[in-house]
Amino acid sequence: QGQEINLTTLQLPQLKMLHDQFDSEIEYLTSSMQSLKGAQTQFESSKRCLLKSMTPENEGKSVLVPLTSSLYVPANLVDTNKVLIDIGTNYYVEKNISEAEEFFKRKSDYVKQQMEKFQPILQHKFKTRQLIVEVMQTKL
Amino acid sequence: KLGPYINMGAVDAQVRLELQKEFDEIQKVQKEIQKSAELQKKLDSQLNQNTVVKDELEFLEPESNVYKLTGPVLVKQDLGEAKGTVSKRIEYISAEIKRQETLVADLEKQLNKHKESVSKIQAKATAVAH
Amino acid sequence: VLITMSSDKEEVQVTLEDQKKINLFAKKNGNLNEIETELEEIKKALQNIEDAGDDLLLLEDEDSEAIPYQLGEVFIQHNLEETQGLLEKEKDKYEQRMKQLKEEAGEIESMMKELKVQLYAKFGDNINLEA
Repeated sequence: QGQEINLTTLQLPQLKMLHDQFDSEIEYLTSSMQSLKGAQTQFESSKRCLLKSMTPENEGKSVLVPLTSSLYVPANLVDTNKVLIDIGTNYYVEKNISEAEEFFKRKSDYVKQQMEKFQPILQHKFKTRQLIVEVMQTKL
Repeated sequence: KLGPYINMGAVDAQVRLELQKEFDEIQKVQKEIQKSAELQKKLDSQLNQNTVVKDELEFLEPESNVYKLTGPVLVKQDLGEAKGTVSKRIEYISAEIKRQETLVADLEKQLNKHKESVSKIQAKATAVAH
Repeated sequence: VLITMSSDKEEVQVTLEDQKKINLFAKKNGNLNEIETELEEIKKALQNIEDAGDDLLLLEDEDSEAIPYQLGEVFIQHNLEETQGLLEKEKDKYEQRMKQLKEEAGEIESMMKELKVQLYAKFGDNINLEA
């Protein structure tokens, strides 16, 4: 919306409506930010995991693989240099460790970028909502 | 939301019927617009995901192993083929999005037409009631 | 399904029995919708299984030795024959479930039909039980 509205010219019911609109926009943006943060945490954690466990010294070592979140089976680590990565829309790609590390860094950076883009917008909406509240109080 | 602004009791049954018809149409069109908006949201998300995959595929060396999960099976794909499939998906989704945008523009025109009809009928009825 | 009752026709008493029937109708309708949703999902899964089967046939020989098959959170590799066998088994499982669901749906539909008959007999135009 590119139009400027002078809040003081609005009546209380209109202000309430505007306030509610900002409320829901803020809620939506906040929850999106949380999802982004969650995704970033996951990418960082995958990267760390990768670097810690997929080393040549661990070649052949026995591991417990989760079949489900509560069922594990014993297995051996074969080929600590290759991993299979889900890149989206049901496509999986085989990468070596350094390529996989780059992949997670790429994803993590992208998500960070998105968060940085929306943070100021979220701030602005918070401030505006606060302004609306203040104007509403003068009209009570 | 449009509501009757005149004393309906004083109005002809015929007019009441016409107004009801227009209100029903308005509701119908609004539902269609809503449906399209939801569909567009889904399509946008799909477009995003597919674009991400396309970009990732570009990062790969030609001998890279690519797999597609179909049902429970990870089937090996040729890199070129995978790129082609994803590009086609992107084309298809983009076309669908455009189609929905055109549809909504059309529906909004219809909506305005019905709103105008309602105003006309109400104006006429008020004139008659006096 | 829209269940509406109009009150501008002649007065008809809604007994507790009637209310129970109306509630049962609504509940069964909800169950029917759930079944339909699951049937849709099964249809998709079966389609995926068929597509997977087709894709497998296009695999190069060298790639047909170790085909990852999803089991829970992991992929276990099988050769082409084994993979096809596993797909067949899953297909059978889904088709069984589908048959079971369709039977359930049939039972629910006849129950709903019977309820409709009873409710329309008593309330006639005062009630609307249509989808």
